[in-house]
Amino acid sequence: MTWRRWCEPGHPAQLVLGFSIWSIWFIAMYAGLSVVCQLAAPAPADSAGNWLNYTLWGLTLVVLALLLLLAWRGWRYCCSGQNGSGTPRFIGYVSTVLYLMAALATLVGGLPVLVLPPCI
Amino acid sequence: MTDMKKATASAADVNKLAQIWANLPGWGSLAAVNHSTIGLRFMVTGMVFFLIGGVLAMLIRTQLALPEQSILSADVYGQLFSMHGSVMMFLFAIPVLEGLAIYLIPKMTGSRDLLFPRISALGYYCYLFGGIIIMFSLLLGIAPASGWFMYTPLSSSEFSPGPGSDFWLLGITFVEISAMAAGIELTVSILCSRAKGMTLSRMPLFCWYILVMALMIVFGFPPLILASILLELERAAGMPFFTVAAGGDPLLWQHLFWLFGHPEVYIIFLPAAGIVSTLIPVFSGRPIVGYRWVVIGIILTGFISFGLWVHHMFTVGIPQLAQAFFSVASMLVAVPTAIQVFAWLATLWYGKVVFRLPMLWICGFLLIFVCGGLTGVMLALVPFNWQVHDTHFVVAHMHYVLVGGMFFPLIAGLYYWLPLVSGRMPSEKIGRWGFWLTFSGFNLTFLLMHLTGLLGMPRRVYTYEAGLGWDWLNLLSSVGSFIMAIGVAMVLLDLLLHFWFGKRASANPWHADTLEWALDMPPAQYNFASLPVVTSRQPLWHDPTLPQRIAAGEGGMTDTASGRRENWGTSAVGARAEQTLHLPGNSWWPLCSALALAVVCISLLCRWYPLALLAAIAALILLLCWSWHNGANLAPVASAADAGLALPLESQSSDGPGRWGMVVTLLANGALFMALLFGWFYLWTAAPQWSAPAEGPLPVTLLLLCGALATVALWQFNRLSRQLADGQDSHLQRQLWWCVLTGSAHFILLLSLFIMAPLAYTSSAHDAVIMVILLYLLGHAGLVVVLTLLQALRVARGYVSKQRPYEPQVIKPLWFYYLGVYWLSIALFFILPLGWGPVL
Repeated sequence: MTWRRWCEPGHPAQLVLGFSIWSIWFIAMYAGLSVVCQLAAPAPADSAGNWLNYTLWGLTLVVLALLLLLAWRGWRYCCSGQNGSGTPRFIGYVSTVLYLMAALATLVGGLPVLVLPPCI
Repeated sequence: MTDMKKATASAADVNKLAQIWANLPGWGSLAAVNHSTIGLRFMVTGMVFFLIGGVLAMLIRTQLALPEQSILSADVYGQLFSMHGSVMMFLFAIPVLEGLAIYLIPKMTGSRDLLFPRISALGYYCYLFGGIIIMFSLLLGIAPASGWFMYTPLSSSEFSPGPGSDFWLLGITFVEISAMAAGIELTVSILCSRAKGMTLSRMPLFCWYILVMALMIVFGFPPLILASILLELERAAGMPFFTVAAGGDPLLWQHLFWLFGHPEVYIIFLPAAGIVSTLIPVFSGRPIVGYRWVVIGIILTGFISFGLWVHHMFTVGIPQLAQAFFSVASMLVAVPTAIQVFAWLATLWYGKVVFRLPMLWICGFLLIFVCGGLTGVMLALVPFNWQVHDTHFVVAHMHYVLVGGMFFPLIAGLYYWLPLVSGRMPSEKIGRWGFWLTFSGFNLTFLLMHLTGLLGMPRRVYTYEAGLGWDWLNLLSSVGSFIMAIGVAMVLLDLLLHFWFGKRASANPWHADTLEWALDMPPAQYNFASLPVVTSRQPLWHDPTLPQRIAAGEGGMTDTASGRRENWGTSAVGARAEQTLHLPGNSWWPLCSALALAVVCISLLCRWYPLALLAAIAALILLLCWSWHNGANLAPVASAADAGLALPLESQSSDGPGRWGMVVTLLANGALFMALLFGWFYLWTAAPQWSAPAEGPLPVTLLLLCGALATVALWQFNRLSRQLADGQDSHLQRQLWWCVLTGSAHFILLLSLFIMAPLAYTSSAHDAVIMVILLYLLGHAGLVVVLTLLQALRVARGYVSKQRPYEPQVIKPLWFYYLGVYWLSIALFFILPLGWGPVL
């Protein structure tokens, strides 16, 4: 039950969820890159077109989609008139923008994967 | 007539309140725990360290004023710049801002004190003793000389054989106890004891800033604590975490240090920005533009600042793609800062600005900090970063950000809240002289230093040859630094003199909107005679009669029958009053515990290990005794807390600030564990000569059996605490003893495995890390068993029962944490490596 409450758009946990997801993505990208470069580095000749970059880009897109979905859910919560104008609405608004910011940070942070080789 | 009666009754209550909240007289004031006293002590001590750090800076600039000078030797210069950075960062910037927050937060949130006042006192003494220990090294001429970031191998015993590095590692870790204490306490206090009606959306922006700063301390400091412990273990016991030949890696230090170091910049900046966000609306005469956006900016800063640390390491040899991640993140952090800057500018634009003394410093801040931010974006660009790495350009940038971003707002804040502390106004004339001298001196010093850096002058050199194009720049920088010093001296003089010569301040002299200005000037120890109820973001603008109504006892918690220090416990989001909190009063436990810890620190420095062990045991006993006496009162008297509405005491409920405190402490503990995990995987994948044995050092089956015992103990504890929360306490003590027994069996088995493990911890980084994780687990296992044993004893004394079910609920998260960490450790340190096979 507690977890269900935490997932509601007006719950204060939403204030940190977006960038917590971003943080996990960021760690996964950096740690994944570092570990693979040590253990099974793609050939430098492949430049950015290798399985590692594709995987990292795929991860970026999945996280981006999740964050945008959460932002959309938060926006709907703010727009529905049932939630009054109090603290839950405040939390809903702030967390929606934070989800969007987290999505932007994910997209911008993931773009170098498309152009740079991973382990050089 | 009714009003008269109320006022008379209120006067009697106020006298009783003053008696309850008073510090002990004379030497007894060392036992004071009240937030006003502790906050002011933090700030005054911080300013003393600031003066010492400033004198060191003057010596550095004197040495660099002309080429080829020999006023200071290379070694002494190394000690001075290392100590200047360390003192300013660890002994001035963070403590003084913590002190300000400790002093202000209860006043702003309509409370009488912070929720763990004895922890505040412990934090202060740890800070004071740690600071004195570090300063002693300077007096003895054996101060650390490896820079304030203590890079290995320069700080390792091979290249720094003296005790200088040890002073830094032990002293700073000691001081960090203070930062952690403040971080945990401020977080819980802001969330759990605001004025009734002060919902999250009505909370003053300063509180938002401090909340995020406190959480950043909770997550940001543990990596440095771990790094300091590992380096001290390497220096003292030869455990080679940072030695390449034994499978370690010096770059691990850089990662751990900057995992702390970059968030640290924002830990310093955020409270200062909180001051700016408080002052600008007051002097503009209107609410801040974009309150919600500023909150968004604060939270964004808190998160993104943890993703930038590698930009300090762009030159160490990191793949381009990884550099790109951190370069982008470094640029992204400009977004939340820009949001705040635009909100401040818009507020100034739409308001009618009154340029009093604090506003002058705010304007100086805006100019300097924006410039520092722009050079920060330049440094985020990898090619530019490579060009200016380790030059005076970086020194100039850092000072623009830290002095502009922290010192200027701090002085603005000191001038602003001065009348609250002293009841007197500062001198505008001396203050303005102080500002202009500081501002012009600062820019002369550091604006030119950008050029010195661009011309190639490296940092940390004690002298330079003439004719390299740096001579006139250095001379002017030094002149500027002395002008700045005169300015700072004038400011401090003004602050000091105003206590005697300042004009008496009128009530709410700046026409501010926040609750601290509803108090007497200077405020009483209990802050509010009656606890206020808040209905807007600007309570004093919304209801100018609020101060009179609070003083007349029209708020809550006016009853003093219990004779205890009382406050409301409110819900985190909606700020509904839910509990009556009995806050602990004056106590010698914090001072005694800090003294014992200081003995541990000094005896480790002197390598008197038996004494260190004895002092550590004494400290543990003192802390456990403290926890025993700080627990629930056997016969608590609940006050008529809220106009006829009887609120339960914390000890009579299943949730409360103590539990929140435990959870936040475990978050910090978890951050330390994650940093250790990072170190493990980092060494595994990146250390050039990492080697691991083909078979694990401990038999996995026994580790699994050991874990099974801990799981059973947790199951027992969880069951009994649930029953207690449901109002059943049958066989409670017996269940707790069973839990102690199972936990003890787990501890003994783990200890036996540890003793029998064939660990070559001085010749292998792998075994050294295994040793650290085993010690970590053993420490936690021992602690959780001892705390459970104390609970069993407290049941016998009647402190824990179905009427008082609280304490086991506080300990329960620790059991869950320990079990989670145990299984994770077994999986990642002992089982996973088996699957990978030997790495040679």
